[in-house]
Amino acid sequence: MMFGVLPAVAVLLLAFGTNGYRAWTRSTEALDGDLRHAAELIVQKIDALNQRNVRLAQVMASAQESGQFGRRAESLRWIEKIMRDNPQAYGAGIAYEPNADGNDAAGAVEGVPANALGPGGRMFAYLKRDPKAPTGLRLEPLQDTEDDEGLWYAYPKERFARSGARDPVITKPYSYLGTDIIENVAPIIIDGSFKGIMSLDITLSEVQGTLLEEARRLDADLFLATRGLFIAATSDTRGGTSLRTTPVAESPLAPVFKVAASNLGASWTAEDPMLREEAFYVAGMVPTGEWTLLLRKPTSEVTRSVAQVVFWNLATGLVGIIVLVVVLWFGAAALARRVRVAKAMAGRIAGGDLSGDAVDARGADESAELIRAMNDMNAQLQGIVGAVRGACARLAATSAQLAATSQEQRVTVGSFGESTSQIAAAIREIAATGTELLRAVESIDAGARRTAASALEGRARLDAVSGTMSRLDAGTRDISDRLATIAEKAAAISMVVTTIAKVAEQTNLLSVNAAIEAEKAGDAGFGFLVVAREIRRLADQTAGASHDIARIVSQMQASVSSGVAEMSRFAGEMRQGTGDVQAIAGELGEIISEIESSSTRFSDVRTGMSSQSQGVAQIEQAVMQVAAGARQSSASAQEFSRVADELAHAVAVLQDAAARFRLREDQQP
Amino acid sequence: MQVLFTLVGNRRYAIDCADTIEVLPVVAHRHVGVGPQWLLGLINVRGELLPLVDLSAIVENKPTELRLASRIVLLRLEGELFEGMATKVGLLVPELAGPFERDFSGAGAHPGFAFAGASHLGPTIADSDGMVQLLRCRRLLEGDAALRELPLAAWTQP
Repeated sequence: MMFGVLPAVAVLLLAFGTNGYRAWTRSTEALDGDLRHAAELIVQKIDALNQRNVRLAQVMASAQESGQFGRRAESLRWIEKIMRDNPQAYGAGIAYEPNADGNDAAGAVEGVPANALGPGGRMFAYLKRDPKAPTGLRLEPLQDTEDDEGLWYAYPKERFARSGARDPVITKPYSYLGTDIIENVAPIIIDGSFKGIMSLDITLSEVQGTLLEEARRLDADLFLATRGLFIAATSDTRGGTSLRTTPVAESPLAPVFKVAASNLGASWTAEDPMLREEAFYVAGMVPTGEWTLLLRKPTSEVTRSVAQVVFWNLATGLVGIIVLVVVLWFGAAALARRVRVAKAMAGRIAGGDLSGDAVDARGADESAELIRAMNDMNAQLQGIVGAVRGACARLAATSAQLAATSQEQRVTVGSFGESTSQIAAAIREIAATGTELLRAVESIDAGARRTAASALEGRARLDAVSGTMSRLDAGTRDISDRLATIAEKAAAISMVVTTIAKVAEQTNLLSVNAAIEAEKAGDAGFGFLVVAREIRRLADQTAGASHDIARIVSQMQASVSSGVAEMSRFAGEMRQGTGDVQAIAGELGEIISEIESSSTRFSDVRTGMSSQSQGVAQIEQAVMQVAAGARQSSASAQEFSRVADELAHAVAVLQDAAARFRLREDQQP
Repeated sequence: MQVLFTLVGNRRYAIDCADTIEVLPVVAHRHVGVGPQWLLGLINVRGELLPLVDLSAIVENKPTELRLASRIVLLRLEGELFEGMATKVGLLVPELAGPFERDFSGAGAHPGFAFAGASHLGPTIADSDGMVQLLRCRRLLEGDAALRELPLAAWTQP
């Protein structure tokens, strides 16, 4: 057991040691990178703020150059607006060269307050924040506080004169009327000559505010300096002395800044002159304004967090190993004990002794499960052997009952065979009755068919009558047509007769005139007179004859008309008769179809009867089969009786075998 | 003499064939609308427009009822009235028969009555059909006072 646990502990200790060492190295490297990165971000942030302020100054100067120059009141309003829009600014200034806009003499007249004017009336205004003023802003004349180095006015002017540079500049930090500021100054250059400056002031407190915020986040000190002067320092709060605007060279940090000048963007460690202990430094350069940033953090603080991590790692590992060894030791001992118990139980069961009590097997490990399985096996074997014994006793009783029952069955099968024979006789009677019924149905069907045939014949005769009537109708039409022709001819004759009558009348007139002419001719015309008179007589006769013809023709027309009327009436009656005949034929047709359908039904009945007859035959056959089955059952019952005896014998053998096992209830009596 | 018989009302009259030009069937006439009742209008006889006079209106004082046997007798009128010029006039008669040979100047004839306004009525004879009076056609239009007012010139043929 010891040989299993000890090597494992050794391996674990080695792994923990290596891990601790590696964590130490990696953490210090990461911290160095993090601080350098943080310094880089601060540099960028301050640079962005500087750029924004420098641009604002430049924008103000550009406005002057693009036409605002000389409009003093408007310029004042504009810088006031800029002040209001940019809360980070402390003050804004406008300074013109003496009489650069030609308004120096009349400066105050334009509505520009006297506060905005410098000596001689030049534009020399300064607008600064003042919490006591009603608008929060106070206008006052600029104070010429420049030293010999040149600050906000002389420096840009001198720089333009020297190099023509017109970009904005950031001044070194200085105290203006008691306020520490830096100034963003842009020159006003119009037509190539220097006309003045526009300035935007930022307090050093504002810059320090930004630095403090970052320092608190990093838990480190930050210093910002330019041109050998401090701008801001976060250690001010610690030391109680203000470093602002003081020269770097006079401060204890002078040697550190000297190293920083050649280590921009890098990190190093050195003994700090202020803290008197080793410190970690990072230096950076803000491009706008050329400000140097120094980040300082004592080395003890840097490494403290890393050391804590490594210590906790090692401590947790050791505790884990000790717990592991204890658990392994106890687990192995318990396992060995239970295996021994299980071995003893298995030996007892193999000897046929199932009467032992269940062994205690609490726990969740595999050894406890093994003991529980042995207990279960013992209990189940007890149950099985007990059940086998009970079953043997019940089997013996059942086999005795079986023997009795098979005897009864043999008797029952015999009486069942007799009943089957009686059923078969009854079925044969049913079949005979069915056949008779079928015969009766067939005779009815034959009668119906004869009726249908008679009806069909009657309908054929009616069809013939109908045909004859149709022909008669056609004949009547023909006669009507002929009568119409006669009427037409009579009308033609009548016309001819009219013509003849007209001719006769003309002839009559002619004969009269001829007679008159003959009279005029005297005796010479006498013969002609006689002829004329004869002609007149003939004409009169013709007229009479034509009158007779006309009368006869009109009588004939009347007869024809009455004949036509009679014929049409006859034709109407004829059509009605034809219709009646067709109706009768239709009714006969219906009768025939009904008879035919009933014949179909008879056929269905007949089919049903014959299938019934077949069914009866099948039932009879089935009953015969049942009778045969009953005979077979009788044989089977005898066989069954023999098998029951054999079963009783087998049960006796099984009871002997089960008696070999010793159960708990056997010991009780 | 040869005469034509006509029946007006129930009286027979005779027209002398010598006064007659010809007998025409009844043709349509153009109605005048003014003047005496007996003047019916104008008829067209082969292109010649002639006056038509109603005989029944003259002798019976009522218009002719037209029948199949009605005729127009074309008369030729001469005499003082017409200043020696022949005039053709159509006379509408109810019915006409003839010509027949009759003698109105013989012993059996009655010469007629000489009243004023009856100069157109000639002698009367009797035959098997009854009495018949000859019409003096030339004086037929004389008896009517209105005749003088008629524009006779329009009636005359040049």
